Amino acid sequence: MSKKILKQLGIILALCLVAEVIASLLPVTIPSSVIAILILALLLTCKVLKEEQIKETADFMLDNMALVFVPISVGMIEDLELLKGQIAGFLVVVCISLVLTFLGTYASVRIVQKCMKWALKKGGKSNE
Amino acid sequence: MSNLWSDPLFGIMLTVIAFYIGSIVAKKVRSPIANPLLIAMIICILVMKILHISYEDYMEGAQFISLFLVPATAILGLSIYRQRKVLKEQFLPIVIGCLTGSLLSMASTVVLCKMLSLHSEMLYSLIPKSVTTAIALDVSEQLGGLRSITMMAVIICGTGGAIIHPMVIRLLRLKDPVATGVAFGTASHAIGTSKALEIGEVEGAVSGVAMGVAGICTVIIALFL
Repeated sequence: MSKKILKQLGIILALCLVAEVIASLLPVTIPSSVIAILILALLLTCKVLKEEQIKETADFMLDNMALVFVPISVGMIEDLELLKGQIAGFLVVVCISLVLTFLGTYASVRIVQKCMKWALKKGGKSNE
Repeated sequence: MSNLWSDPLFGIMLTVIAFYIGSIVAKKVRSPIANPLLIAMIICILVMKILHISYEDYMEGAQFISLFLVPATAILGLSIYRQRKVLKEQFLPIVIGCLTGSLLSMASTVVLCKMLSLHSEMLYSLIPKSVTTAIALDVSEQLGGLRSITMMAVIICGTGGAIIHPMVIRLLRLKDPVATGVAFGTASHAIGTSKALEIGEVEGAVSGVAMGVAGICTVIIALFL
């Protein structure tokens, strides 16, 4: 069991390093984390990598993903002083836009889903 | 004594224990405000203030946890693979949702900044706030914004989103897992995705895809600004 976790961690870290290299070679900025996600999904889809080969370690990381964002969130509170006089405007813009984006995105997905369902129904009827 | 606080093990221990407590409390309380990330952040800040520990000392150790940002997000590839059926079926809604969301995020920022007559440097810093840090910093620089302000806005969109979105979901009784996932990933990038994962597997996987697609949409839209 203990060796299994080591092997899984090794595979995951190697994958991230490959993603780092690819990111540094690309002419446009695509974060290495996004590239690593793509590589992993691709390897799994092509059956080069099996789910069992990373499962335990990956599930641990998925369950506790927010842990890696704790230090940066603590740092943000420290940095808030930098904004001084502009903090109210800054927060108002960020928070309102945040909720608007969330709701707008949710609504647009629902609208497209409904249109697709409607189109499917209509298409189905005309075939009959 | 101050040597102890600047020991790298201290920052790692504080972060891990704070997050552990946060996870347990969140599981017990089951309220959108009781979020593991938020609770862990508050515990860390309280401990640091009470013991007079500087952020630099804390980061001696905490930086090693931050280093795991790439591996931790890379694992989303697995949840995407697990949800491949849903993603294939919902391809169009997801892509259109990301595009609309990215446009809305940028447009609402411009309108709100103009309404509050914030200066243009602030405006440019805030435009890419909804996407993952690496992309946001690049877009901000390209537009003429300030990196530190963009960084802060990105983190607030993530952390704030992880707190606010679940409340919005409960208030408006939003139920569709795919739409919820797209909204999390588009509005609150990786930090939002970590919250979406806590809500459900489908939400988490879709959010992981959405955060990548929304990042790319934002880069493309910014070219026209």
